[in-house]
Amino acid sequence: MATLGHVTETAGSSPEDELTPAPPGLFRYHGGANTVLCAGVATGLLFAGLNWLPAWGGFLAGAVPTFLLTALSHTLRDE
Amino acid sequence: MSENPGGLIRFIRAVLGLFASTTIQGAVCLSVGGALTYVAILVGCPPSLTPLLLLAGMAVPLWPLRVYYSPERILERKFARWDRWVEKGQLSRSKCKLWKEAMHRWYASQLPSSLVAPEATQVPPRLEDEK
Repeated sequence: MATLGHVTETAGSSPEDELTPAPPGLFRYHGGANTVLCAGVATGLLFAGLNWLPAWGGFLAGAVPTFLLTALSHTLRDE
Repeated sequence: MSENPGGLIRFIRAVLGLFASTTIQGAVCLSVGGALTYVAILVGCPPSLTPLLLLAGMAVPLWPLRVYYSPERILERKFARWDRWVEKGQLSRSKCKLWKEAMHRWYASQLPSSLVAPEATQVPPRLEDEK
């Protein structure tokens, strides 16, 4: 197995010129980001529907704690 | 985390990565929500419903985005692109296989162990027409 370097794909270069294309680094966070948005939208709809908070406040009330918990979960998983 | 100085760095990296991904998906969500709100206002919905319409519209693309950005789909799209390069003669079949094996291993190493099926870590079987 040859040692593979990471070379970013560019539109004009020939594929044969590259060793291995760079893997998408953000892919690990896409699931967590989707959860954050889901939580924000759900709490936003709930709180705004019940007139407990403005919609943006409800969104933040759900999204911010989920964001921090997801980031913490990623941190602990990487250890 | 305080005993391990790398913990803070990992946390900051996770926050930045999560923020970047949230920005990408949030842009799509806001676009759909904004379009829905715009249409609803044109149709005659009261402005007091605007925040709820925006949030309801934001909920629409969340599931498609989850599927589109799943690791399996990302891998699938990359492999399909490399297969097209092989068909066009821009990439040799052996190098394509090498790339796929490397990417398989990389994904398996990056995914949490609870999500990795045993067969995902195995190298795919060699095809008949490959040397």
